[in-house]
Formats: sequence, structure tokens, C-alpha cells
Amino acid sequence: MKKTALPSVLLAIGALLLPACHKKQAREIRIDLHLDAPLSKPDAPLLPREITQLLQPLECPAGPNALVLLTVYRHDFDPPRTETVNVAANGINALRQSLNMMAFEHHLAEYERNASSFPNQPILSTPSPKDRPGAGLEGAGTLQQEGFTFICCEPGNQSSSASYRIVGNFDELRTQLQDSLCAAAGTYYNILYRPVAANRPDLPTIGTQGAVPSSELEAFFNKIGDKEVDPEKRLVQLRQHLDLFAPNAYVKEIGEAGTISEPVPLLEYLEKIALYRSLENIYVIEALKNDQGQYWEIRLKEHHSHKGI
Amino acid sequence: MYHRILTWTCLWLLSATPPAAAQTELSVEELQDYAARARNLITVFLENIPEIASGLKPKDFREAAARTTLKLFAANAYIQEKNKFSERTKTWKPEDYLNELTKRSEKAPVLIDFEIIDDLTPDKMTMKKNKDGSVSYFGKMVFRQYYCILKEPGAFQEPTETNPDLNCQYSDTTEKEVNFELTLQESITGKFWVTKIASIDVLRVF
Repeated sequence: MKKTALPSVLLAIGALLLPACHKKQAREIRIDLHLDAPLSKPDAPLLPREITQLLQPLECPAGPNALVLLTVYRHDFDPPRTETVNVAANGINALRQSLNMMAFEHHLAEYERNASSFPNQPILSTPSPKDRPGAGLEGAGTLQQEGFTFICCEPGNQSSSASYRIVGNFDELRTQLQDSLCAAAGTYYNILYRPVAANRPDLPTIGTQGAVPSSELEAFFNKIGDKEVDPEKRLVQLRQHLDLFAPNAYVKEIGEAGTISEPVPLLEYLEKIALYRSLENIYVIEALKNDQGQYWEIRLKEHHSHKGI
Repeated sequence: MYHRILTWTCLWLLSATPPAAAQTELSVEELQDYAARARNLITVFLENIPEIASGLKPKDFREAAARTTLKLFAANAYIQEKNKFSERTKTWKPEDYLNELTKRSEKAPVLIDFEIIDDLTPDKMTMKKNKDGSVSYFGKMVFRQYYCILKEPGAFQEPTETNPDLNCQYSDTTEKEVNFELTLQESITGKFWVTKIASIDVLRVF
């Protein structure tokens, strides 16, 4: 009788104590990170590696620690998805991970433009541009260092630009977070991550001005994938037109259900389609341009007639 | 004292919480995506192998085709081949298989054709729970491989309906099973479900 009762008792204690842990022993520090530009450097993860590194040393040597809840809002296009940050599983990070307090939520930037295409998906919430943190700061000037700009602000005072703290690099941001973590009560940071314009991925064009029309890009992909042309010739053609793309361009496959494959270098993808024998057509669904009129993301759809399928 | 006990109990309970690494299973819609990717892998394989084996293309082309084909396979993948006159099934690493095929085609062109006879569908994908709490998925498809080593050009004859393999010094048909694996992998760009060919096994030769 006693043996069967024991597990129920332990579970009940757990349920009673866990809320107490949250409230009394572990404060919560919430960081909302807004990614305001495409992240498409070849060696860049979907999230800036610096941010995940930033979280690792966030531990108070003395006194109570805090749980970090980091939510990432992507303002460039990406299907919504959640990721868990990998940090060294020691100290407070083990607890954070075990509580799933390091989940990244990606939000769809294009939601506002395509709201009708994505009904009933509450995860797809994106603040309007004027409500984004740092929206009123452009006139005040921002620090641009190491290719990044951080505009760090605390909510509640967002209407006043004086409350924004601009930090120029990750070290400064780390110091601020560490101070907050170890000193005061729960804190909420809004961080705008914006690579400087010079670091935006470029897509060199054939002409001297303006970008290649997307129809021309579509024609290029179809030429490379044309099953009626000898693959040998297609491989030669693609190498002649590689200057259409930035050397660090990459491709990620997105499935119908929104699954994403690991990004692969563009050349690898082009070589694959140059060898295709079953490709009917490639469509350019969307071609997004940056302020310089150059494409930073091109969305394609392949249509195949598979042999034997 | 009570406070200290409460703290340690909290920490024990928190660290006893199941790791966040435990994955959620894939939905049917997601499995459909990955099944489509698996089909794409085998399509690339079936399209590239004849090009590599025919020996008609220049070396740099065949190398590009081999390079693309090799990326379809998992790290420990293998490919089996069996001669219809032999009891022995030979197992190759994909890299060695592609190299051998490239070399052999320089000596005697090999004509290879394929036909998929049992396609992969999401309902055929099975889930396996790994020791670390993660999950992997596996799927299979079957194809027929028509194989012909050509005679010397001087010995060519007009093939007939009853003997279409007249110009082959050796020919066979092998039924092969392709095994796919779908695993969650981590790289510098994040965590992704990766679809690869785990093996190509010989079922029968005739």
C-alpha cells in the first residue's frame, strides 16, 4: 500500500514546490531580440552566434541567478519556427535548458504584407514598423561598430528616446545584462539587431545600374536546369554566370509544411540542378531587394516530373 | 533553515526535469516534406549514375556528377552490388563505388537504367527512439537497376525485340532497396532534420 502511494506523494510535492522556485529563487530576465535584417552570411547561424555566446556567461557569481527568456523576432522572411539555444550545460544554464527557457521563437516578418495568407496563426505576430524598438532612433544616430548596431531599451519608456541605451558591441551589452542580472529585480530588454548597411549581402548585377529583373533570374535558373540541354553544357554555362551572385550566397530548401533544410552553398545547388533530368520548370516566387536595389533573398519553386513516380 | 531546504529541493527538482533536448515527433505534413526530399535524393542518384557510368562525358563532368551524388549519402552509408553469376554480394562505401564506376567506364562503357517499383510515402516512414531521447525516422523504396557492359564497338549488332541486350557483353537486372534515414543534426547554422541515403541493398539479381 505504501509502495504504491509514494510516487503520488512525490509528484504532489513537486507540483507545490516548482512555482515557489520560480517566484522566490529564480528571477526572470526577459530579452526580446528583434532581427531587422537578413542573416545570410555563409558562416552565420539562423541567429547571430554572438547572441548565444552572450547568454553563456550570464551567471551571477554570488546571489540568486535569473532565468533568461529570450524571444527572437525575425523581421526578414522565414517561416515561423522554434529553436532551442545550445549553451554549455553547466551551472545555471543547465537549469535554463531543462526548463526550456532558451527557446527561440522566429516570427514571420512578411506577416503584415501577407496577413491574409496566414490566418489563425497566433505565433505570427509582428509589431508594426513604427512600434518596433528603436523605430524613432534613426534621427538620433546610432553607433555602428563591428558591423552591428544594438539599440537597447526597457519597455514602459519606449515613447521616450532618452530611455534607449545604445550599445556598440556585444561586450558592452553583456556587461549591461550581467549588471542587471545580479543587481535588481526582474528586467526586460528589447534589443534591435541591425547589421550596418555595408554588411548587407550583395548580389552583383550584370548591368552597371539596378538589379537584374527577377524574370531574368528565373530564365537563368531554367537555363541551368533545362533537361533538354546536355548537362555538360549546363555546367559550363553556370560557371560563366556565377558573378550574378555574391560569393557567399547559399540555398535552403523549404518544404510545403515549412520544414527547412540546412543551408548549402549556392554552387552546390546549381551543380545539382545542372545535372537534373526531370526538372520541368523553376519559378521565382518572390525576389526581395535591399535598399541598394540588390536582391538579398530569392524564393524559388522547382517543378519536377519524376521518372517512375 | 526552511528557506535553505526549499532552495535545495527546488534545485533538485529543477535538475530532475527531463532535458529540453527530448524532441517532439514530426507531424504527417512534415514527414511528407521529408519523404519528398528523400525521393529527390534518389532521383538525383538515378539520374547521375548513368552519366558517370557511360564514359561518354569528360572527366570534370563525371567528377561533378560524382561529387553531387556523394552528398546524398549518410556518413556510414553503403551500396551493394551483386553479379548474377556470383553468390557473393559486394559492399562498397559510396565514395569507392563512385570512383570504381568512373574508372570502369573509361575502360568499358556501362549502360545503367533504373525504374522505381515501390515509392516512398510518409506512411511507410517509421520512427525509432534513440537512447538519448531523440528520435530518428527511416523509410524505404525499391527500384530495378538495368545494367549492361557494352561490347567493343566493332562487335555491335542491331538489337532485336527478343534480345535487346545483344550489344552487352554482360547484362543483368538487380532489384535494390534504398534505405533513407532522417536524423536531427546540429551544425553551425542550427539544428536541422537531415535526409540521407543510409544504404542501397541488393534484394535479388536476375
